[in-house]
Amino acid sequence: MPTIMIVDDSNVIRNRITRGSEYIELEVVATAGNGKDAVKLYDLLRPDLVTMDLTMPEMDGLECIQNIIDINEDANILVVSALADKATGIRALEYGARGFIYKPFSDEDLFNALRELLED
Amino acid sequence: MTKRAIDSQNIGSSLKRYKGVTISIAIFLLFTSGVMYSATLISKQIHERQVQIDAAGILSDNSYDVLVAVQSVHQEILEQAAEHDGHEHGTQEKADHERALKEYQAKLTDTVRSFDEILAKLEKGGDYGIMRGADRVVALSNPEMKKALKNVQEVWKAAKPGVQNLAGYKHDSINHDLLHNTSTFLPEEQKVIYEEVDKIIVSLNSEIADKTSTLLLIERIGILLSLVYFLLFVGFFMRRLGKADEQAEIARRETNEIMQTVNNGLFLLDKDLNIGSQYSKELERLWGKKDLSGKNMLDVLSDMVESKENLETAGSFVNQLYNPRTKERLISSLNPLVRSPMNVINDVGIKETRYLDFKFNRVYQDKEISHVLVSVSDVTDAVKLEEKIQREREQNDLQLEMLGSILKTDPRMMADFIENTEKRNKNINEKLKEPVKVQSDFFNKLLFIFREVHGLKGDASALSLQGFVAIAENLEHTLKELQSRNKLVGEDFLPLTVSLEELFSLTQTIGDLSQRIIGNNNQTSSTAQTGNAEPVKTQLNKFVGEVAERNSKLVDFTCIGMDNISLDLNIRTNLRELAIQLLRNSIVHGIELPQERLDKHKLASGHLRVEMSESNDSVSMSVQDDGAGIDLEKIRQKLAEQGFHSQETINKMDAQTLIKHIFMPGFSTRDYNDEDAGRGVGMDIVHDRVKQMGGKISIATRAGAYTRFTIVVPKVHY
Repeated sequence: MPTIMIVDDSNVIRNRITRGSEYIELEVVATAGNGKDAVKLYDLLRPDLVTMDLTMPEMDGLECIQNIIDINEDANILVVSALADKATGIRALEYGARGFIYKPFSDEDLFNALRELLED
Repeated sequence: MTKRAIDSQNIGSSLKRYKGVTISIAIFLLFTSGVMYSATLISKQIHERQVQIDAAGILSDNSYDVLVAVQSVHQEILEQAAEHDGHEHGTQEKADHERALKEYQAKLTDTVRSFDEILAKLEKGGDYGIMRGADRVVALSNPEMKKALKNVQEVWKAAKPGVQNLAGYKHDSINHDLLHNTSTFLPEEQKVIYEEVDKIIVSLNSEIADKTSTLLLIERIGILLSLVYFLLFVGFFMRRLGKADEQAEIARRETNEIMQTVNNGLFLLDKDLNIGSQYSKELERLWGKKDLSGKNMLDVLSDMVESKENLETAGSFVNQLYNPRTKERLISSLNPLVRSPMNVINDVGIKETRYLDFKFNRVYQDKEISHVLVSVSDVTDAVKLEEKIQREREQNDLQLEMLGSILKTDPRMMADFIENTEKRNKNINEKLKEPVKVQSDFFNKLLFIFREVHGLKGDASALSLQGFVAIAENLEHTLKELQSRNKLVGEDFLPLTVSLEELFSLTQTIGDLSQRIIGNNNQTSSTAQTGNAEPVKTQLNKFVGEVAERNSKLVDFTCIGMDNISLDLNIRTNLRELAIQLLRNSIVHGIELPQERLDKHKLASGHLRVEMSESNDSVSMSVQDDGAGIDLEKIRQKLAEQGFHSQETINKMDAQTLIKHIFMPGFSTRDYNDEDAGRGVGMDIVHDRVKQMGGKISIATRAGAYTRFTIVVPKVHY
């Protein structure tokens, strides 16, 4: 079963993505509420997928993506963010994220994005 | 379809495509090697015969050598015999003869051996070590030659014993008969041998001539066929190339047709964001620009977009499409060029704003991202329609909200509001129509309109008509912007009239609504609806609460005597509106923030009190807060900033004079504008209104303690 780590400072969103991931048979191996924890957990568990919020305490999503890519340049990161500023979203891609979905998202959006990222 | 399947299909189709070429090249190679093989074979045969001719020649020469040697030996023997018979010679002479004879005999032996050898080789074949190195003599195979060779052998077989006898002759053992035979026999035999060998050579030469002409023929046929093949090949491929060119031309024409007729702006972008050589005609129309091939998209768009940042983001976005790590579908939401407003010169040369949608798609070539296909479409109509729907929805919400407000509000107050607003509308329209002589007239007009709108906002806000407040506020923004200009022309008022129209048509709507809802009620039971409507006290309570919350202040509000219905309605309405302005003023400017109050050892929540009372011939209303009082220094400062007076005059002003300034139009001590205060309008309206009513307004204040406004108006109708 492919593994996933969910990074978001809102536990509502974390639970939502957790439920969605489990529904499409992903094993949620970790959830993190800030970038710092996320980097540590990534290094430890090396999940197949990561969903990443951008605005978080301790270490924000952009920095967190950079740190994870430093650990594994093939890391599979999906940004899930409510930010209105597209330039920041694109910066996340430049730092190594592979996809982006806006909050709020539908189950369909989430499933499609996770499945597409798992394709290769 | 899987990638592997695509691969094998590719290989399959290219094999098919080159099948003709492959087969024709194979046939050609087979043919060429056939020609070469037979040519080599024939050349070898010719060479064999040349070697045979050489050998036969040597045989012929050897037969002559044998003859000469035989004759030399024979002569020597005869001479010795004659000397032996005649006279005795000395031993020296005898020894010379002996040595010469031995020499001749050795030569004879050699030539005989050589002759035998060549003869055997011509018959059986073998290495040919005399003249041609390692070449081999092949045995003669032609029956005619064999027969000639046989003749030679027979002659030689008969003559050889005699010759061998001569070679082995010793003086004392001479057989004179044999000697005689040999010496006379040889020339004829040699002649026969010579003739037979000659026959062989002639016949070999004729064979060589035959083979040579065959070889020549084969070579000519080979060259001819190669030439024919070459021509066919070239012709075939020229035709094929022509066909491919034709197909390419057709494809190009089709692309062109598509590009001419497609409804979208279509083009390819390379990594550096340069536009491809072919793009749709519609693109030129959509962008209002020509000759786009090879140009950088961002440069082309730079003078069209409103936000340059957006364009930069678009550049980064396209770069990310070229990044094979990202998922095309999962990044499309980051495309910044969606419903982008662009300033375009249209077909008739006029600048207009279009909303353009850009769609970006990856184009793959051999599994690599080779280009990004861009499709541009004009969504102006859709955007406008959506805006219209949104406006209508807001209007509906507004009407619904107002419906609620109307139901809650004292119908008489609502009627007053509508009447007031209509009056304001009339005033504004009349003011707008007044002729303008100097620039200051424009600004006076603006100021007048501003005050009317501001008053209207206050009225609406008191009745909780929030939608109305928002529209009035927008209008205030526009007016303020106009006021800040150095120079005004009549045209500047145009957008204003549109907004005003909107505002007053809304008033109309409320009027209609309230007429329908309450008007009917009014006829049936006036007491009942009075009971239903909110008393002024409740309204003011709510209003104070809202303003306080917006300004983060805590207010403890007391309202006394405001619902005295024995008073004239006109006076009540006016005083209620004045109360609203004054209460707002107190909350915004008077009462301090909770923390500030605590620091000053006051209660966190300020106390605000409005009281209305009547005497025989007048009504008075006071509004008092326990806030900061009026800050005279701040008034001085603002006065200096606004440049109404010189610094010197300001410094000399006493408290009363300074305080009066707060009734001046356009004066505000607040540093920013919002719904509640800061536009410098409000207190001047209060002042004007009191004057209209024939009343007076006074202010009492102490810094850090309180401010009290007292209005006294006569009971008579103004």
